[in-house]
Amino acid sequence: MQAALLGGSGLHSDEKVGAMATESSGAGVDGPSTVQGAPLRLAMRGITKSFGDVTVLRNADLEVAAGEIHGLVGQNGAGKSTLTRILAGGYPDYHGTVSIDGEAAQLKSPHDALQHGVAVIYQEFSLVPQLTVAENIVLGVEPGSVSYRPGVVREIAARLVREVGIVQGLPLDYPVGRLSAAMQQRVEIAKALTRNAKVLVLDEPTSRLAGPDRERLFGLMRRIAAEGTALIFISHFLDEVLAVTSRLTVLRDGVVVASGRTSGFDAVSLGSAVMGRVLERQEAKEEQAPSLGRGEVALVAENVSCGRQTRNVSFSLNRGEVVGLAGLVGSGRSTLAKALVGAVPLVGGRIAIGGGYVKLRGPRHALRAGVALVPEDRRAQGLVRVRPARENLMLMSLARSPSRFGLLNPKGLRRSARKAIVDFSVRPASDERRAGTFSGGNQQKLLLARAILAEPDVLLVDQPTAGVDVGTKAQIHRILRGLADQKKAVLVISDDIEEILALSDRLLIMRNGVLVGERRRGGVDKDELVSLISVGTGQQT
Amino acid sequence: MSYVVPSAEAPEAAPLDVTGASEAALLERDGGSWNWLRRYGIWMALAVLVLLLSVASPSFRTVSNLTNVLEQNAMLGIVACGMLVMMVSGGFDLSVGAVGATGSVVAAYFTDHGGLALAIVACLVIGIVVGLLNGLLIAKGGINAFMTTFAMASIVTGILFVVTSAAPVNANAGWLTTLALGEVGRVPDAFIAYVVIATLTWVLMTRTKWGHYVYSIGGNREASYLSGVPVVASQVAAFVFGGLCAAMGGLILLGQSNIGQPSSATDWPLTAIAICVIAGVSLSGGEGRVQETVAATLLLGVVADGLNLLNVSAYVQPAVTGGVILIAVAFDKMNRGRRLT
Ligand SMILES: Nc1ncnc2c1ncn2[C@@H]1O[C@H](COP(=O)(O)OP(=O)(O)OP(=O)(O)O)[C@@H](O)[C@H]1O
Ligand SMILES: [Mg+2]
Repeated sequence: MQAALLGGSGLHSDEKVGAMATESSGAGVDGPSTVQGAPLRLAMRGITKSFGDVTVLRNADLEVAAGEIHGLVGQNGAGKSTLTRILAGGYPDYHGTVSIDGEAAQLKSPHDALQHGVAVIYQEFSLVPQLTVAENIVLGVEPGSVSYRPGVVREIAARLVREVGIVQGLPLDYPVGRLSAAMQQRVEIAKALTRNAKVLVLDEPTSRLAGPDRERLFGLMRRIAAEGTALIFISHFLDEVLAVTSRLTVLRDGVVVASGRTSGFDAVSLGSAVMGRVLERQEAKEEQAPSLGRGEVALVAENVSCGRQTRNVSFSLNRGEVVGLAGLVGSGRSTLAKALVGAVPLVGGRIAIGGGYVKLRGPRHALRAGVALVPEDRRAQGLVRVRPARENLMLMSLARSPSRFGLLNPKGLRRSARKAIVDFSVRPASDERRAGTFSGGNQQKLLLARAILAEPDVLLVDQPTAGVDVGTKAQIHRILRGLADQKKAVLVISDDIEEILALSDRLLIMRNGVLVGERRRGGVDKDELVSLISVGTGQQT
Repeated sequence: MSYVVPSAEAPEAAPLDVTGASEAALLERDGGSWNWLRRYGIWMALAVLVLLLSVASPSFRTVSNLTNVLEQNAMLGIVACGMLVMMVSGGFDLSVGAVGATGSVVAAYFTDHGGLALAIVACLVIGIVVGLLNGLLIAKGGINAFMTTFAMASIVTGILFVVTSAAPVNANAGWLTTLALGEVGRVPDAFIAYVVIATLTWVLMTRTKWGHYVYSIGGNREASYLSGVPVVASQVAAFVFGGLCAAMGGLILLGQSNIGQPSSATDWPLTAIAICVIAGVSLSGGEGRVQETVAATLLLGVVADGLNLLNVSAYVQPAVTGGVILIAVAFDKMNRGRRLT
């Protein structure tokens, strides 16, 4: 591994070049997309994994050939990330066998997994906030045995990033902790890609990427696959999975319930395989049920500016409506949302809540004034991972009115927490588990439930369904719609264009830090919106 | 079995372009000036304080007083170097005082029974063993650093008191006395030893993979583990290094007094932690540099010396130290901006 890094071979190790040659000749004979008998690169058989007495994977099998993009789908908590982590050597106590290129692999530590050529783009990032981007990319595979030379590490990172040929313009010398979640996602991708992998797992890489970047990532995945790497692609966007993968495996409650060629599935059959029931077309229904009508103004932003990221933004949110804030990553959406709760200081402008101007001192103050934010990065800004779900759920409610439950009403606390867990179908439905042990999508549900339990008048949600499965996504949409129906004001930021179109009664469009337009429901279609948010930014080619 | 390879023509993948959106827009907040202030603020504070005291007190600005300050603080400075490494790794150590006291008593005993070399080795071995135990319990056993090192301090001190019946042990410290009290030119030997160890710590922390890993596990243990960093070994080594530094402090302590005193060094752990906190070492790990730790050591030393010379009661000194810590921490917080919000 290290030799490869030093030798600068990047993704082009000899064996991969060999594999690529085999495939392309195969492709020449059999038509554009099929290869007969590509060698099996990864075989996981009979994988079982328990936490205490809870079994989260039961006898799961997964086989991926060289050059194949394999889809791994399933509901939140189905066990996808657990399977990934076993492959990455992060759970040495698994049962079952793993073989890579026909050789049995004992995956007792992440180091072992790296030696076997496994690289992972983790759902919850594996980055060290204090280290720079370059240091993170090379972390764990620094050259040499004793000495460490920052200059050399930076050069290696720069070269690897260049060789991999994507993710340009990463600020290599910035500490990762100072980057936005979307930017960290790119670092995470770059890091895994430079690990010279035989098996590359992508655990929901698109949950934080917007449209054009997704397409670029897919192009890149195809290129890597064509070089002979086996790819495992995890996503809750079933259409993506159908488009990108050649075979797929469906997990439900830790058991493989279906697997086979992607061509044997369509959106409906895959949806029902994932959910275990037939899925209704949610978006279509939502379009027909717009809000019950606009109420009084709940929040007004006047010429809000916070540095270069957000400049002179003015708009209002009304009770009873869902407003979508559309824009590309880096367009200033998240900064604006943070400014509305006082988490980012205002450089100019002012904010009125419920009719009066307020100078917000911070999120807690905003919460008291009735404005709650669900942040985009659940790990850094979200949950207290080592505390039980219940305490996490009540955190914001307590801040809002410390006396409502008193400290003497644990029963009331528990009742609300349990109800929220049922309402949001958090799985497993336990309010005593530590928040950090829930699967990614379920943590997202906890975060949303926490804000809603605080009963804000204005709810700002940054990426409401990042990493949430199809069934729950529909449910979260219903809940947000329900809030508007209860005369609350809701602001939604989402990279998912379909989602934001389906949810919003009104759309605010942001580009390069300024508000460039406003559209009513039905006043804009998907293509138009995509070009509105990206025109002139150089992001769309 | 046959597999399908998706569109083998391998479409050219355009880069995920992050330069399109202006770089600043992708950064959560400005890098700004806090870095600069954190690096040099404490040196500036030290300079200002030295200047003020030089004006206020003629006896402060004498060479003998200044060398005295250097000599007096070398011992704690060395202990703080070890504390720095442990804190950066995400832990801290309340047993450095116990190690210092025990090390000096054991070394005192061996100076009379086997010679100086044996005494030094025995003292260092105690540091290594206690550090190893601490490190294993914390890094491998997953027990929290407070519990582990507090218990370790109690056990070690307990054994020490039983064995010595709390009585001091006379030593024949020889060369150690020279190390603790001698001078080369006008520079105290102890300070030279401190500079050597601080430099060594700097090299270890910034120029070895181990040091880099200590930062990375303190910053995000899970991420480091998943990236293939030897998390347990690196943190155990950090505690061994901390134990070694405490033992070296113990040797200088013995040299100063020529006597192994079981009840000595009780203030080491908190003072060393205070020095690190003043130096901006994060209590949750991943951040902190040797340079600022040196400055903080001297700052606390100068404060104590100044108070002495200005005839401020010794009882007031802890309160002043506490004030300095609070000011440093508040300053640090301000400079970092609203990190928690
Ligand atoms: N450290 C842990 N301790 C206890 N249970 C855990 C732990 N990590 C995961 N689990 C449980 O294992 C199950 C599978 O989780 P996993 O993260 O693999 O799901 P997932 O399929 O990746 O879901 P998502 O789509 O939400 O990311 C969940 O029920 C989760 O609560
Ligand atoms: Mg997951």
